[in-house]
Amino acid sequence: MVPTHTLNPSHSIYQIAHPSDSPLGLYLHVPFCLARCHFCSFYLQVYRTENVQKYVMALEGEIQLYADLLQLQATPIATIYFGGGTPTILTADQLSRIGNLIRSTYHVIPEAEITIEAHPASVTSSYLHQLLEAGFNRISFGIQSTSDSELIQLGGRNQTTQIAMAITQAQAAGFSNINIDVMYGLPGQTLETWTSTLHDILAFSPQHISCYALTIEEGTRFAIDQRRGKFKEHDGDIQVAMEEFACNAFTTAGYQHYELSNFSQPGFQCRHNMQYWQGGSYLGLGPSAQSCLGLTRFGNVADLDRYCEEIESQSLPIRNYELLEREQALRESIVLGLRMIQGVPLDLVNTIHACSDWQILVPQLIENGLLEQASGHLRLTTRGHRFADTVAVTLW
Amino acid sequence: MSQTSPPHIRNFSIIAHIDHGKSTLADRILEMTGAITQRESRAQILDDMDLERERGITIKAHAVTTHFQSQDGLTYQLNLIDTPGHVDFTYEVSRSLAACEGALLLVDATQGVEAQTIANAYLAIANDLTIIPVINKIDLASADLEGVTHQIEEVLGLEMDNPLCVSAKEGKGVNAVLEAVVRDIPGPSGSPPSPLKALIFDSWFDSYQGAIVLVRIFDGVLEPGMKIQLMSTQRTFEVSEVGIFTPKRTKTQQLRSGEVGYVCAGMKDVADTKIGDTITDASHPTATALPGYREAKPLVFCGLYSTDNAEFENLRDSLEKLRLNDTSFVYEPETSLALGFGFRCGFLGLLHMEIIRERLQREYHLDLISTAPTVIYRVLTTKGDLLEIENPATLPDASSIAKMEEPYIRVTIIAPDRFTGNILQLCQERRGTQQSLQYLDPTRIMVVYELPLNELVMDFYDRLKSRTQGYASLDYELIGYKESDLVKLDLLLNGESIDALSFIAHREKIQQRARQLAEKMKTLIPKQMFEVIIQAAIGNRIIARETVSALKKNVTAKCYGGDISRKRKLWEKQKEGKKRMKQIGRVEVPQEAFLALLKVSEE
Repeated sequence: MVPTHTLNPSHSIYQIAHPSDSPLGLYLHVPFCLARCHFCSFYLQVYRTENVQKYVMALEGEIQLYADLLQLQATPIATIYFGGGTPTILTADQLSRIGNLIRSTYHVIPEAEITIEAHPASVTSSYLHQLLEAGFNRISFGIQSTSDSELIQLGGRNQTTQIAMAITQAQAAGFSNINIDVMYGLPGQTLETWTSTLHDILAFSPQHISCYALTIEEGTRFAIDQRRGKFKEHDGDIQVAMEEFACNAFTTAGYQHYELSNFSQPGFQCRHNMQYWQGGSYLGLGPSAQSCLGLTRFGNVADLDRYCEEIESQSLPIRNYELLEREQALRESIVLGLRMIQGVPLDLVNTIHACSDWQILVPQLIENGLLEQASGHLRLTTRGHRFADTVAVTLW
Repeated sequence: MSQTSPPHIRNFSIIAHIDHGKSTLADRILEMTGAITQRESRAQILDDMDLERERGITIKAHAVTTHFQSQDGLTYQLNLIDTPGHVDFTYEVSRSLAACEGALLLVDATQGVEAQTIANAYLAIANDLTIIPVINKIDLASADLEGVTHQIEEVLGLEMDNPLCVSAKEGKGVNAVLEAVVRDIPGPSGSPPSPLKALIFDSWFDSYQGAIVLVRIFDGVLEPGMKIQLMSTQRTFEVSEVGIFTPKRTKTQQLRSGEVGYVCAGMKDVADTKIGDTITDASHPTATALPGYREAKPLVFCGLYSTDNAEFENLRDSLEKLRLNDTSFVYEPETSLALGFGFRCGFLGLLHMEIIRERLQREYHLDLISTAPTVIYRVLTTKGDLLEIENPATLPDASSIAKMEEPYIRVTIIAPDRFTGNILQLCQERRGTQQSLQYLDPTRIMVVYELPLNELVMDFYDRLKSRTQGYASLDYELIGYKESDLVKLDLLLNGESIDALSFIAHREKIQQRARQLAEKMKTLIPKQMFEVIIQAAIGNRIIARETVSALKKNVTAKCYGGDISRKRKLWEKQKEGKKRMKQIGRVEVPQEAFLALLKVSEE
């Protein structure tokens, strides 16, 4: 039997446990930005120094709390991901302190992938050096576009010159695993400007590229603009053309398309993100961060003040705790696993297939040209890549 | 208990337009005569179904017996017979009134005479009742006693020398009303020694005793052990129990001529206890039944299907149970190519339909798809057969139809005169013919139109309400069938005809309806992975067409920790939603689409 760790009595309402021999991904949410981008619906606050200090203290508290509760000294941490928000809003000192605390209280394996999301306009050469010293070995720039007029519309306060400088400086400082986020379907974007964005970023030869379709989320500036008729989403045909164009450009340049929205040079897939798609466990720290440990799913309160208060009173700031049935969890990990281009091993699929509606649904999806079987895997077809959610809803 | 001799009995109803305070006045009367305490009066004791209370209307009639000590020194037995308060139930109301010698015509002092005030008053007059006008809500600041008095005199021709004014809410003036009841309404005539003649005016099902039947005894005596006969069916039963509602059900030794009460006689099927039927003594039957009986005939039909065909048996059981207490609605199994197995159901009217549908969903937890309501069309085929069409899909091919007829109604609408233009326009658009237009007072009009019933079921109420800001009141009666130039419109999705969406309309209207329906369907059918072509056709001729373009992509761009939490909930919801869609060919059609016809905008 796999040894598991249970919680202190005060937290016994949550049956959180993690088998200590399987690796764990750690996500830390840094909920601050200088301004909110117009497409962003994540939980964050506009930066204020005193709030950041309060947050760092609470985050350290939470790290400590879980170290005790889950006895994470024994669990191998294979990936750490600082996301946001804007993690680079923290000082290198603060980041280094948090990193050290994790390393001293958790068991971080030597070859762990440690990523930080960075705001191009807010990093300097010395800061980037400090990040490397603090242990970060992967950096992710959310640049979205290399057209200044498009960048202004996004509200993210980046400029193309700053983007170029940040990436070059990161490379010069010694980051050898760099990700760049780009986005298509932006207001004002055309197939031409998109082509030139792709051309520009490929010129940096980043190890990894995340390529996202703009999604209008409720509560964002874009959603408001859309309701007011100020912004109309690109029609489906153009989006599909942009996507296909990007996919061709990346694969031609030697990148592997390994997840619906992700491309990498061989060997540079993001190991942390693969935890999400391959049924791995992850612990989310910080306000609004989500966790998945074995059969449990839970998320932290999306409110900085409440988060800090609850940590201070030594309780977990958990909301929406759920304990899944084994079959449900399996279904979920397969549905998410189909986001991987290689698909999901057939023997895993068959464990569900044998005794459920999948017996009818999977062949139907294959017949409809959305799924296919190839080299021992069930995977989305090329056409299926565009309808992953249709497949997900069907199999959910 | 002591029997009150017939002269000291008063059988009466309260009739009123919706919301004019009928149930409140009934409660006050029961309180003041000691039938219930204030605590017991859970605000309006006579309406005991949730749905009735929510909608503020009375569907089932009840009768309560109570006693009133009049200032003339005598004690009277009062039988207060409640009446259903909606246009769909005109026949039931008329039978309840037939059980009475008098009626309180209650009018809201702030609203004045409304369509159902008039309809109900005419019913009472037709039943030879003594009508006592009562003006309610005089406590409200906007009460217009003079205006309302004048309206009652002018419109209904009732004498209003000393109008009775009450505030049922506060109990003010109620005693004077009761004095008027015993003074002005005649006691019942009839004699106990004559052969039994009892009028059925309501019935419902009790799982222990079978049907419980409310009756008014006109002649003779009804007591346990008697063999009784129902005159419309000739069926006989043995009486097991008689009694009255006080409002608690209370057994008595007998019910005598002039009295109102209930009878149980082991009738297992409420269908045996038809409203308006006469009960007589099987061994000494009366020669003639009471007048006015007719079969309650459904006017409005629709198809009801469960979204999940596996629920078919459940739907059947639920319909059966509902019918135990409501024989005025009918159902029979039907099959739709689009919707599978379901039932064609007939109702007294639209409200009746909505009530049944809502009870099926609420009390029996069924997920239903309902087709648009339709009326019964009469078809004379070229072979000379006469058909009654309750389901548009079953209309024969145009080439074999010699002529068609549709039911017509006379509609009475009352509203403030500033809406006159809107009302006339609506009636005109709905193929109406104006019969009369009169002013009830300087600011309110009453319009009478003849309309095809099919135009009324097509969302007429809602249109009328929206065009009169909710001020119009409406009543209607069926006046018979008229020949009409009708055609059937079929709706096709990707070339496949959807029988459940076929409808029949007048030739002049069909082009417009077809276009509106196609446009509405376009907004109701979600994008699919392929193009969906919506066509409306008469026979083989396509007269309207819309396209739902294909979904180009449906994929979450970012799918990490936080996104996954959100997507899990969304996908689960969508999966549920998908279950509730009907798959027609390859096209997934949501429930609402089957009522698209009612949702087309005309404005």
